[in-house]
Amino acid sequence: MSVRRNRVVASIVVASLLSPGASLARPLFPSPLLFQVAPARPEIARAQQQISDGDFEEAVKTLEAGLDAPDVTDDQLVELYRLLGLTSLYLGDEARAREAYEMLLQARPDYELPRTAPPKIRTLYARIKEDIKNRRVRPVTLQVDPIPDAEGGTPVMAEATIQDMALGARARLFYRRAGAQAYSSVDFTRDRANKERFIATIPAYELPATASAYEVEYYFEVADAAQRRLAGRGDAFNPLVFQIAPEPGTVATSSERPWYKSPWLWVAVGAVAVAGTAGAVVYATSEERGRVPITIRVNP
Amino acid sequence: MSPRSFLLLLGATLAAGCGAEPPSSGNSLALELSISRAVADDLGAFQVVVLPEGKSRRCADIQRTCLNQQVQPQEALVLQGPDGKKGRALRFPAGLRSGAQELAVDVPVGRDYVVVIEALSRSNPPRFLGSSCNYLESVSAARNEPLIAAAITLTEVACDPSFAP
Repeated sequence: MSVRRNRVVASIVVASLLSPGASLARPLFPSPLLFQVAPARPEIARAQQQISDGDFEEAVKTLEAGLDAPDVTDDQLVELYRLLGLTSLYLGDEARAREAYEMLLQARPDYELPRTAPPKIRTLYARIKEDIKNRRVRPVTLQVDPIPDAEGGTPVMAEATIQDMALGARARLFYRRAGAQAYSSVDFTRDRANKERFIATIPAYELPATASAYEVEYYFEVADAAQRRLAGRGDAFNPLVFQIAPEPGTVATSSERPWYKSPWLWVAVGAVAVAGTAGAVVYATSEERGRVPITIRVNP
Repeated sequence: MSPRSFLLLLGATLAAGCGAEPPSSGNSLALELSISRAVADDLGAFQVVVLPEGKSRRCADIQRTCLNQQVQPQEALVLQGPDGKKGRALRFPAGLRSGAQELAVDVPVGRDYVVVIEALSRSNPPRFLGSSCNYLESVSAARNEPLIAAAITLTEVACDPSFAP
């Protein structure tokens, strides 16, 4: 009886050693779901190896180098942040792990950790997801100065400071010559030296020098992958304006403002608005009444 | 005490509590009725006042005495009677039928009102004979549901409910 039992136990042990899927040991890198597979990237492979070797500090450096690379795809970013979160937890840096998982979730709100992920990671991940659901994650903040008036025929550069930029989000500068129907746009690019500093440039050919001055309407917008506005200054209906000066040597003429920017028009609109408001107030304060039938009763 | 004696005592106690009221109670009721009847005979008019911010008012306090002693005259809304007469306190001659009287007032359109109806004596100056306090949720320019006011219990209080015009 005991011989048979020993034989059964031995066969289970051998089978588990031969088959990784049946092994009792948890793999360090559980295979992700098929739809979450990211394309291979040297930094990812190298970081995985460094994590396997227990060289976590080097792994963090490798991952940060991977995140700084200019040609990283969204899938690769997700994988880089996932590994960065994992490595940071191994190093006991929960704050950085949290930051990494937040970035991951901002890019892929539906991302799920593999079921085989360590419980500590799963707990932290669940907490972060809950925070995001309850909107406790810091919003994107955009600080940008208005574009000053410029010379024609020269590029115009806008600098912005964007904090807590969501992964997968785009910061763009929209612009159009005043009176034109559609906006063009240029992307803000991240400054290599300062991760919160972004620069966008309107090319010179979009701002030709002309005999008379003209205005350019513009606005800034940070939007997520679903084109939801996360932050901005101005918008398509309430744009900011800068002016392109007339070509040197030409007789200065008054800027060609579109009809709707005429001050007289807005004086008239203001007068109408004041009159309308006054009318509304008069109407609201007029003694409009309603008849209320009342039955009075007296106790006998 | 044995159970039998306890039951006997309980039965005697219950029997003492039942039966006709003592004669003194009947005298008191008769006196109250005669006073109430006398006050009812003195009833000359009803005064209707509508106050804003109804939820913040305490009806129990309002009904104790003349409203004009508790609120500033300008607090009351300007009402309009069916005859076109305007005022913060509209008076209607008493004409009770089966203990009730119907009337109508035009109230400024709005929400959260209290309608106070005061019973006034025929005397000059009139005396306060009791009041009814009723919360009115909203008044619309269109049709409004009839307000069935809480019944007024006539009791004389020495104050003149007249509102300054």
